[in-house]
Amino acid sequence: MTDNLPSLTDADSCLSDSQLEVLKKQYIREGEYVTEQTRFNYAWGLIKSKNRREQTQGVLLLTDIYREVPDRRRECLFYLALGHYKLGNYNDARKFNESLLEFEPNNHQAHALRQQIEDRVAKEGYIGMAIVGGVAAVGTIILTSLLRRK
Amino acid sequence: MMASAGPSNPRNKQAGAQGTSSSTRPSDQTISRANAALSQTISGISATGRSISSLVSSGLAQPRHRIMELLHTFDVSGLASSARHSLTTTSSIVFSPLTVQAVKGDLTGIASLTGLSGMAPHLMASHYLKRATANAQALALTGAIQATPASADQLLSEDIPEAGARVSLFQGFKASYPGHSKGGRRSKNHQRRRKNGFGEVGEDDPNKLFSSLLSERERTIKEQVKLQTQKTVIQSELEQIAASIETLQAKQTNLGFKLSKLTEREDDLADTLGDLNDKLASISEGSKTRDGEPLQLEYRDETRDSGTCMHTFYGHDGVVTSLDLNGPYGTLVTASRDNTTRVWDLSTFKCLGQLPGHEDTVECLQLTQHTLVTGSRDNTIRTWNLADLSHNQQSRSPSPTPSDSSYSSNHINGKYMDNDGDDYSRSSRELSGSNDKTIKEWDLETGQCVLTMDLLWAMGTSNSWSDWMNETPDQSYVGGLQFWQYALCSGTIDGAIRMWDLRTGQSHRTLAGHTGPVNTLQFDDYHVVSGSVDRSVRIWDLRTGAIQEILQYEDPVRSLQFDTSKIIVGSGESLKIYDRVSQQHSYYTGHTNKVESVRFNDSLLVSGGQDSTVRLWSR
Repeated sequence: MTDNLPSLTDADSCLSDSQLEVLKKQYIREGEYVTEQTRFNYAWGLIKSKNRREQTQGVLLLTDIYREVPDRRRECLFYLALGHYKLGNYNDARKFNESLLEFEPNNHQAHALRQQIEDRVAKEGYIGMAIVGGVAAVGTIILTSLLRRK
Repeated sequence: MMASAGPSNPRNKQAGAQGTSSSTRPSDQTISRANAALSQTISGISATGRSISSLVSSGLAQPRHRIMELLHTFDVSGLASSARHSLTTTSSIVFSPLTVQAVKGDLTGIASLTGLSGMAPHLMASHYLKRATANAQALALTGAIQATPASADQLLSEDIPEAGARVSLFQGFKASYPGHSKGGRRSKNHQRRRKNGFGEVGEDDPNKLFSSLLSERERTIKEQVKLQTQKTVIQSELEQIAASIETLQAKQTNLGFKLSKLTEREDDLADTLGDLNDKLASISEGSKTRDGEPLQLEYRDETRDSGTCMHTFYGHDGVVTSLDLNGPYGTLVTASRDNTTRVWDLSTFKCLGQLPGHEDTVECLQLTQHTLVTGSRDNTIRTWNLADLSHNQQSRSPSPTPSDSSYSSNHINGKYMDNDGDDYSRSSRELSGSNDKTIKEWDLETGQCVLTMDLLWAMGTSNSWSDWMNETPDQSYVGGLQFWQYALCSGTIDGAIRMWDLRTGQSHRTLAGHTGPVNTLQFDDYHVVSGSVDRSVRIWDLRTGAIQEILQYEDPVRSLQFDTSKIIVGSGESLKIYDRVSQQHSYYTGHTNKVESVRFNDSLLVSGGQDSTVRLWSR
C-alpha cells in the first residue's frame, strides 16, 4: 500500500503550468467517455497546485470519482482527506482519514496525514489564542486609559 | 500550508491581483479559523458576514449566459461558500479582502480577484474550444450545482467495498506521467542528462559511453513498466464495463419476460371482458335475471411461470372423482371415493367443511355461482344452496341444507349432469345420465323428471356396437354430458357421441369414431371435443360432423376442458395442455397418480387425482 499512495511531500510539490495543461487537455480530449485514470490524473494535478481554486476543483472532481466508482472509494478517501487538508477543512479531512484508517490501520501515509492535520489544527489554535489574547490586552489597555482620563 | 506568504507563485502570473490576494487570503483564513474555534458567541456579526457574501454571489448572478460567466459564478459561489465557512467572527470580516471589496462595492475588483479575466483568453486560445466548452461546462455546472463539496458524512455513509487487487490510481498516475510526480525538477534533470549523454558520446572515454548506455537501458525499462501499468489500468476498466453490461442484459431479459407475461394476461382480460359484455347484453333481453356473476377480474398478483403447482389440497382419503369451481377466488367443491364432499375456499385455501347427506360416493357434481348439484352412487341427485356458507375462517363446519328433496332413479353408477340457467321463462333445468342407461331431464324447481331419453334404444338403432361394453366394470355408461338450450350432447360407453334435440327427445346425430368409452366431453359453438378410454382426444367440427383433429396420448383420457386457446386434458399422471393456437403440447406434472378430473376457470386450473390430492395450477 505504501507504493500505492503518494507521500505528503509529493502532495505539496506542485506541477508546472505546462504539465497541468497536459493533464487538462487529456481530460477534455477524452470527452464523454473519460476514463477514471484520466480523471484522477487531472484531479491529482489540481490538488497538488498551490492555487486554492484549483484545489477546490480537484476536490470536486475527486468527490465525483468517489461517488461514481465504488471500487476506488477506498483510495479516494486518502485523496479527499489530503485535498480537504490543503483547503483547510480540517474536520472533513479528519473524517475521511479516520475512515481510511478503519479500513487500513497499517497505512503509514494515513498516519502521517493524521499527524499533520493534528499539528496544523494545534498551530492554528495557538495563533488564535495569541490573537485573542492580544485583542483582549489591547482592549483592556484602551478601557483603563479611558477610565483614567475620566 | 502551501501559501506561505513569500515568493509569489509563478502559476499566478495570469492575474497579478490574484497573486497577492491569494497569498494574503489563506493566512487570514488561518487566523479566522482559529478565532472561529475559540469564540463562538459573536453570531450576529456572522449573520452580517453571511448577508454580505450572499450579496456578492447574487450580484454576480445576473450575467449567466456565456461560459465565462458560468465559471464566474462557480468561482464566486465557491469562494463565497468557503468564506461562509470561515466568516464567523468580526476579525475575519475585517481581514477578508473579499468582503472588504464587497463593502466597497467593487464588483469588478472581485472579477479580477477570481482571475477569470486572465483565464478567459487562455480558454479562447485553446484549440479544443468546442470540446473544452463541453467539458468546462460540465466542470462549471458541477461546480455550480454543488457549490459546497458534499458533506463528508454524506459521502462516508455510502458503501465502501473492498479494494480489488489492481493497480492503484496513483501508480497509474506515475506510470502515465513519470515526470509529473516528485516535482518538475527531476524531469529537467533527466532532460539535461539526456542532452549531456548524447552530446558526449563521441567525445569521451568508453566509461561515459557505458554509463550513458546504462541510463538509456534504465529509461527503456521504466518505459516498459509504465506501459504495462497503463495496460493493466485500461484492462481493469474494460472488465468493469463488461460486468456492468452483463448485469444490464440480465435485467433486460428479466423485464422482457415479465412484459410478455403481462401482455398475455392483458389478452385474457380482454377476452373475459368481451364474454361478460356479451352475457350482459343477452341478459338484458331476457326477463329473468340470474345471479349476476361478480366480475372476478382479479388476477393473482404474482406472475408465476405457468405450469407451477400453486397449492395442493390434502384432505381426501380416496380418489377424487370430480370437482368444480366457481371462480378463481371463490369456492371449490370436490368429491371423492371416501364418501365425502368437501367445500374449499380458494382465496384462503381452507376447507370450509363437508357436505353431509349422500350415502355413497358422489360421482359427479356441478357448481354454479351458489348452487351445487351432486349425483352419487346412492341413486340420488341432490341440489345444495351454498349461499349461506360463510367464507369466514372462524366458522365451523357449515351445513348447507339440501334445498330440494332428493330425486331417485334407477341404478345410478356414474352420472354426469349439466345445469344451465334458462333464457326463456322456464325454471332451471338439469340433465343427468346414469348407469340405468337413460338420460333424464329434471326441472329443478319442481323436482320432477320431465324427459327421459333411452340410450339403449338409441344405440340399438345405430350401427355402432362394440365389444368392450361388457368388459370394463367400473366404466360409467354415460361418460360425458353437456347441453345448451335445446341441444344436448352425450358421450357414452359405446364410444359414440350423440346429439339430441331436447324438444323432441330424439337423437338426431351421431359422431362415431372413438374406439373406447367416452369419458368426457365438451362442446362450444364450433367444436365438440371428446376424450375417451382409447387414449385419444378427438376434436369434431360441428358443422360438418367430421373429425378435425385427433390428439394421441399414452393413457386413457379421464377428463378435459377447453376454451378458445387451449385444451386441458387429464390423462395419466400429468396434465396435458394443448395450445390450439400454436398447436403445441405441454405438460404439468405434480400428481403422483392418475388425474381423474380437471376444471379451469379464468386464471386458475384445478385438478384432482387418484392420489387423493386436489392441486391448483397457474395457467
